[in-house]
Amino acid sequence: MSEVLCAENITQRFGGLDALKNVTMHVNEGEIIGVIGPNGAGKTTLFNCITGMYCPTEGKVSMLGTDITGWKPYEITAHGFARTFQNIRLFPKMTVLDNVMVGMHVQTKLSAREWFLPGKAKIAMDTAIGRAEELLKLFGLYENRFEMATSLPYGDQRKVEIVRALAIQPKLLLLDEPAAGMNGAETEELGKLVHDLRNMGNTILLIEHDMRFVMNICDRLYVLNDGALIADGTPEEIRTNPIVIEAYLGKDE
Amino acid sequence: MLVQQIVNGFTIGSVYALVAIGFTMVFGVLELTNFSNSSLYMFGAYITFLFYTATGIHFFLAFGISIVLTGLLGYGIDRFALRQLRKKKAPKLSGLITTLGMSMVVDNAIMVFFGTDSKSFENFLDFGKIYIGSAVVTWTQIIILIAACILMITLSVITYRMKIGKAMGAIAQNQDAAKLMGIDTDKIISLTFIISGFLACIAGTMVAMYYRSIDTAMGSSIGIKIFAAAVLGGVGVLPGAVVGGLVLGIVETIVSAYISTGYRDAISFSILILVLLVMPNGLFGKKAINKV
Amino acid sequence: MIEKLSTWLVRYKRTLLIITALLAVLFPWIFSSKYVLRIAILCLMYCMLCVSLNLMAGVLGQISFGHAAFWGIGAYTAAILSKNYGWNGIAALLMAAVIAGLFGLLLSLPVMHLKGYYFTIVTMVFCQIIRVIEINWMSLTNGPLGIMAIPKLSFFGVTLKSQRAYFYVILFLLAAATFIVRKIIHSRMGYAILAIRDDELAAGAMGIHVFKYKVYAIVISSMLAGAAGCFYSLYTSYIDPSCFTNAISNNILVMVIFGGLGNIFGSFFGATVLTILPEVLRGFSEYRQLVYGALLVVLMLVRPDGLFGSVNFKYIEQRLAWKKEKAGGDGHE
Repeated sequence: MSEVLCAENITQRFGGLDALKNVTMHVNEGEIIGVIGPNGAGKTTLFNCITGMYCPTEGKVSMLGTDITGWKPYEITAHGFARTFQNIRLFPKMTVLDNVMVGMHVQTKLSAREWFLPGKAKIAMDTAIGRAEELLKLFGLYENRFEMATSLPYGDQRKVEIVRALAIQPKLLLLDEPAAGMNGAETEELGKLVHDLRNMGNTILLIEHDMRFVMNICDRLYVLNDGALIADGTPEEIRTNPIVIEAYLGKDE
Repeated sequence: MLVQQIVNGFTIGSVYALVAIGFTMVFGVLELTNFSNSSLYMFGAYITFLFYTATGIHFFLAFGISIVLTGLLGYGIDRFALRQLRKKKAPKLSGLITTLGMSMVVDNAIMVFFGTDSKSFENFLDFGKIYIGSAVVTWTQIIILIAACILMITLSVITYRMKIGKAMGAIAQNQDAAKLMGIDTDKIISLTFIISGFLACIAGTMVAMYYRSIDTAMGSSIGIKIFAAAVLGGVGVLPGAVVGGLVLGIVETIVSAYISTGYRDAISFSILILVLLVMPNGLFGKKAINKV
Repeated sequence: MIEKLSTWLVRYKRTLLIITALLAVLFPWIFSSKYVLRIAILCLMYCMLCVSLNLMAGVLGQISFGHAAFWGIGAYTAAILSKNYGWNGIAALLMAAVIAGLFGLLLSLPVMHLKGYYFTIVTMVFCQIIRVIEINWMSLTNGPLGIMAIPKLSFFGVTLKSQRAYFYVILFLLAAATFIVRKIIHSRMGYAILAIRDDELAAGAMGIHVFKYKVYAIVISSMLAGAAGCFYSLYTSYIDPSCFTNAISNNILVMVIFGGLGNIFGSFFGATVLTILPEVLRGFSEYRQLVYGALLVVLMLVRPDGLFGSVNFKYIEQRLAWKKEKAGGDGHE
């Protein structure tokens, strides 16, 4: 089992504020890992550090052994990390299918030699369209593929974002609150989908607020509070961890 | 010699600053690049000219009428075009194109009415000149400077100290939220346009007196400079517009005095591009934070 | 109404295209008046400029107020090369495109991180700077007097003199420009550029090299404008700096926005209407610009996105095909 993501001692400072303090985590191939924590704990900041949106002040991020600290987001994506956004960022003037097709950007890259072969670009694009449609079918969005992405209901928009990220064929899929704004049934359906994705060989790192969702589908959890990692382990361990209960779950009980 | 150039630069710069303030106020509130601002500037000068020559009333009365009318024109542009666009939640670009169209209408209406030849304009601020060392400073220049300073200070007080200014800030942040807070957004926005009309008219008339002539190209020639001044200082920031205007004026006069008159605009604009390269938000602009 | 018209256009796309192509080819034989042909040629040239600007403004979403600068650079390059150095038309055309492209590259670097109004002012100022250089660099551009007696276009020793020949040249250039832009929009690069327009950050997260594609789009757009400039100077055989002012830049942009950003058909429409309209209004020429401005305001009030700005022919086509397919499928069962 190889280590897809390894983040060591990540610290991110904004001015005088430490958004992340010395966070270390790793994700192995085929795992579903959850990152949880109260609002403002630094979960999205962690995602931004991993995907290159921010360059961590200190620490090192590596992907399958390659040091990717300080890389640009597009380089990191091209190398194998794909993400979704907490506040959905679909391309508003495109249809669902075209949104996914943008995700195919990395996959449809032609080598220098292929560039000069006539028809090669068309074949690449057509295959990509076929693949995009397959993915949309999987998520039950095939019928909607010619609708404008932002005209879909909220839950479906989140799914389109996931499909778009999957189109990159990432080595690690980072989902930022995939179930936010979904109702109970939709969340359950999403849980199943995430499971299926893993069975198809995807590795997934996700941020989520919905405790039941996380506890059901994740293999391991990392708990952030106030920018620092306070616990990690299986859902069972986290559930009974007194520090976590105090910092986070304590509010419910 | 240098002192002389700086004085001249200050004078023309303060005029740029005045118009740029109006421009930047509208921008600050609406995030709208108002192309019609330079037309208001020309309109103001021509209306003053019209009332003074046609009716023979006292010059300052004509000036006053012109200020009111230019303010009204500014109001009209907002009321009859831009407000409708806001109601439709039209994209920002259509607002910009609308002001461009308005500017064409106003400019060409003036051209049709007055003809394209330049007209001589009497200088009513000609109270002689004084000598500071080797530099000659006319009273016109001093009065323009003083008037510009008074207006800038008044406007800064209004925007940064008074309730109306707070309302403008609120609208700039979020129009809908401002409306919910009980701010009459349309009224405040109209007021902004009226003020920018006032300023443009005052600046236009003062420049007309300074150069003792007006022509129909005066609007288009100042249009880019106002925009450049506002951007140089950081769009939406009043002191930025003032500094931007002054810097532009001084750079222009110094370049044309010591380097080349022909390349004046090219050099001063290149400086603008260089500044933007180093400071993408202008001298005083706030950094826009792109939240993920 | 526009929506219905667009659907109709898409439905009969092939027929309409053939008819248009036929009409375009036959046009100089139907109308032989020099005046009409001249307007038609200018019209096609503006179409080409609009198509090229649309790539930058509509597809990439960077609203340039300085497109006339590239047009002027192309025109001056071609004029100087063919007059002073005796280059032939095709070589001058290529060189004009390359030089304009280089300036596009030069412009694209400082504006890369600038958005919205900063881009606007830099492009405006760029246009002004280029014009100031054209006016002042006497030895190269002959200053405000302009360059006169630019040799006419010639192919293999045959000099083109008739309006008809120039009509076909610009028709070919326009077709080529449209083909290139269309090809780009529907390719992988097109998806990337459109994604950058919609959301730069998300585009980056999709693995798109934002910087690279922005430069591509700006350079290609300016190259096409440079080619149009070359045509202009060889066609009119006289150019001077007043041909390439900010006002002209604004006019080109207005044509694009009138037709709708991002829509090539819209660009054609906007360029055609707004080139012909002033000619129609020539009778009361004093009010021409006034009417032009008023029209613009009214259009923005009625359709803030321009006539075809909210229309995407590709999507209409896809939906029509899908509807048909679905109906067909149901019929079989």
